[in-house]
Amino acid sequence: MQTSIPRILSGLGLGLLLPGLGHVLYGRRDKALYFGGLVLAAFVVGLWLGDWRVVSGQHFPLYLLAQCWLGLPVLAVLSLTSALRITTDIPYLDAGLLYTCVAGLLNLVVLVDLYEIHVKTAAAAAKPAGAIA
Amino acid sequence: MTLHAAQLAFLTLVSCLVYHALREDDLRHAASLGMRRFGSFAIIVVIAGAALQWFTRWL
Repeated sequence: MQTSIPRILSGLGLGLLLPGLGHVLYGRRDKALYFGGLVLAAFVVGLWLGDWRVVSGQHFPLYLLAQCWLGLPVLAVLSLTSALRITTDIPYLDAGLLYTCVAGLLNLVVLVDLYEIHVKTAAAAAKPAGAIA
Repeated sequence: MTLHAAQLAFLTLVSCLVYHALREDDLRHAASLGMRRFGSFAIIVVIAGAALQWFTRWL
C-alpha cells in the first residue's frame, strides 16, 4: 500500500485528469461513477447548449479558467472543436458557458471530497487495532 | 421559457445531488436526499413564480 502523501497526490492527479477517477484509487467506485456521471453530464449538456463552441481559448479565455479543472475532457473538446467558428448567434451560449464552468468547478468540489476520504482513511489506519475511541 | 426552466432545473438537480453526496457516505441515501431537496426547491419556485405572475398581472 502506498504511503499517505503520494497516494493523495496521485488521487488528486487522477481526479484532475477525469472526474471521479481519484475515488477509484480509494476503492470508492460508486462515488467515482456518481460524481463522474453528474459532472460529465453537466459538461456535455453545457456543450450541447453552446452548440459545441463554448470551450475555446480564443473566444472565451476567462471561462476556460473554470472549465480547465475537468482535465482530459476539456483537452479532448478543445482539440476536437478548435476548428469550429462562431458565425451565427447561439441562443443558449450563456447557459452553455455557465454549465461547462459549473462542471469544471464541481470537479474541484469532488477533489475536496476525495481529500476528506483520504483524511478519514489515514485516521482509521493510524488508530491501533482494538483502540477505544 | 420552458427550456430556460429546464436548464435551471437541471443545474439545480446536479447541485443538490452533488451536495448531499459530499455529506453522506451512503450514496443511495444521498441521492434520495438530493432528489427531495430538489423537489422542495421546485415546489417553492413554482409557487413563488405563480404568485409573482399573478401579482404583476394584478398590478
